[in-house]
Amino acid sequence: MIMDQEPSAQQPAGALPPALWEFVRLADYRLPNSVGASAALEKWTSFKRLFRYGDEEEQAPVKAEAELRMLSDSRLQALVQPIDWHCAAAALDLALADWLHTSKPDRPVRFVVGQPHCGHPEILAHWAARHRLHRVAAPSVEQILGGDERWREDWPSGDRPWVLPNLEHCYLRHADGLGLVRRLLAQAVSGALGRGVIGCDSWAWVYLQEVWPLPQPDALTLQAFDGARLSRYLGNRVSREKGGCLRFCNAVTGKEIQLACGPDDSKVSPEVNQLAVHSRGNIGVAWTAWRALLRSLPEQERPAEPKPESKKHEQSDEAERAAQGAQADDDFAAETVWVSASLQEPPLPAEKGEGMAFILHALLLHNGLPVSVLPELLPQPEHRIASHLLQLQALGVVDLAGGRWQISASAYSVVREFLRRRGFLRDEF
Amino acid sequence: METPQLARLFNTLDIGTLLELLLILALATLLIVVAQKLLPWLADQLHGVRRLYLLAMVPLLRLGILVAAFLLVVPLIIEPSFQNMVALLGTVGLALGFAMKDYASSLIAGVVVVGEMPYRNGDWIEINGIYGEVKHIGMRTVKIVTPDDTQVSIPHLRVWNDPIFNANCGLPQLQCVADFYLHPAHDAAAAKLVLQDVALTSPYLFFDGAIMVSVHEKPWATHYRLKAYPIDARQQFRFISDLTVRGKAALLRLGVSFVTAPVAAEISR
Repeated sequence: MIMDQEPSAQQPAGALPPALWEFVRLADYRLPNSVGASAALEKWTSFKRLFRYGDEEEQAPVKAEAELRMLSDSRLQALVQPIDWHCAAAALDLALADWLHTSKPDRPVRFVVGQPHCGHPEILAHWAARHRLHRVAAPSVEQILGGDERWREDWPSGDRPWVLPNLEHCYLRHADGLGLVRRLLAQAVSGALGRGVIGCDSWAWVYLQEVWPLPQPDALTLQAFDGARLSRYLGNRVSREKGGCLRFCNAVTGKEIQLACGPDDSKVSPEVNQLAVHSRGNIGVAWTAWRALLRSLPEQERPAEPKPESKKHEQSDEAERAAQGAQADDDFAAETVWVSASLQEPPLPAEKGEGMAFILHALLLHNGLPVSVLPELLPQPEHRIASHLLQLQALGVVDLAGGRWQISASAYSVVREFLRRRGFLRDEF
Repeated sequence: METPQLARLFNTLDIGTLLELLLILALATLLIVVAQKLLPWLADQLHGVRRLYLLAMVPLLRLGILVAAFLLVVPLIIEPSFQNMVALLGTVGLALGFAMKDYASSLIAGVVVVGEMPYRNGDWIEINGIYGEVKHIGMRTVKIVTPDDTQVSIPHLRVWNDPIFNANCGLPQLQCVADFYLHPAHDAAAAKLVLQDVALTSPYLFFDGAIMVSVHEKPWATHYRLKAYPIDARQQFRFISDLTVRGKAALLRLGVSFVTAPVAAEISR
């Protein structure tokens, strides 16, 4: 965990730059500013999407980057580690501290709204674990469609707050799929279920406002990772974990991409700012895009597997392994990682009919769905849905995780823009 | 006697003037064709209001090009004096008034349509019981395509006297209605709520439009009208089908029975 990312309650807020992880009210969410070249590039990219056909998508890198290679999974894992949601949980703890420690709060339930891939279930899980709170599992599909109230029989009683991390999994966009969540929200907001925190995906949140308008002006969300925050986030991880000498360079211009190395460092390179604008402050999307941009020269690519003799030593000697790790860090510190100038997003299929749009929209409204449920929600026949899903999976637009189809982080921006242009209901981020 | 007058009315057309005339006509034709092909193609890449704006620009552009071409051509052919213009327009007006009255009326109505916009490209209109999407507004006729994929050409002169029903009036959305006829013995409040949820859960639904359920008691059934807006007007029939299919299923799960046929009293009425 990066300690200076932890929000500090002791220091006055005005003396420090904004905390890296910060929970704010929905109305206080600030999209990263797209200024100057970033704005123009974003609009140009958006305009090009209008006339782009999936199968004709230009996949080759630009000429100057042709000799660069994608990093291997192990290299990426080492350079860009998975997001540690503990830091976000600490920020949430700070935001909910007053509510949690008040015996009679104004509102029995607080809502935490998260964009897709921004980790709200993980954050709430960490927060619940930190306070040893009971986590309520979402009902099954059968319970939702059947309006089965027995789901709430195991609801925790007593004064201890509870946590429901996935409100988006408590309803289905089906004529029989809204009753359960309406009753749940009515009871929760009235205080009949005691005190609790409910996590909800941003798309489901907007939809549920139509189903059961929630009087929750103080719903919380993770503040956007603008250029400065993103630069600090990426810079911290490199500087702390790789010795601070790793250089990131623009693969086209060759210029070094400056990453902020501390809370007082305000360096924001145009590339990072563009990434923040592209991801609309969504840290999960930005993290995925950053990984996809990294390149290396072929000779810099280390073999994925250690040499056989090294492996032998590794198996026999822990100290040898540590030495190898240190050597690896030295290797990283001595090298330049190239950052591609063009982000290759998964293309949508050439045939962008309404059937495909419905699938994408349904997946976002529920933050992922089991394949068996989609035919219940959509007017297309099951075989067409399966065909679309496989096509989208092949293009990298959707992926199957935990039995649920969901929009991949790398395709989220494209899909959001696609649905926005067609007038679909979308989140407010 | 007449030959000198006509000679004064018309300019002498030498090779240069003829070439200029041909060039203007060819250019005007080319621009009109390009506008009529390019703008609808561009519009098809867009959605919502932008698409309809682009489509609506086609007849406006064409009218502008025609007027410009006319203004350029006339001085080349005739001597643009006051007497000549009166003589020419009078003659043309007399001919049109007697021989091609309806044709001329449609042409003038076509200009009025471009200005007043009782219908635009992309609108869903009904004229004389014919319902469909406006695909092309020509100089004389409007071409609409019915839900059965039949193209119908209707002269613009209909705008003078006939009512024009425009369902979306330049907007991407239009209201759709799904009808349900239920046996009167049922819980109407529950049925109304179910139908609202049916609309709310349709993937076609446009959320900024209101969902309404109206209930009318008839002698033979309770008539429910579920009104909502699809995201795109072109989805209206699929939207109504979706509402009907899922509405029927939801109402049946509620235990409501449908009226299968009107009773004799209704038929006789």
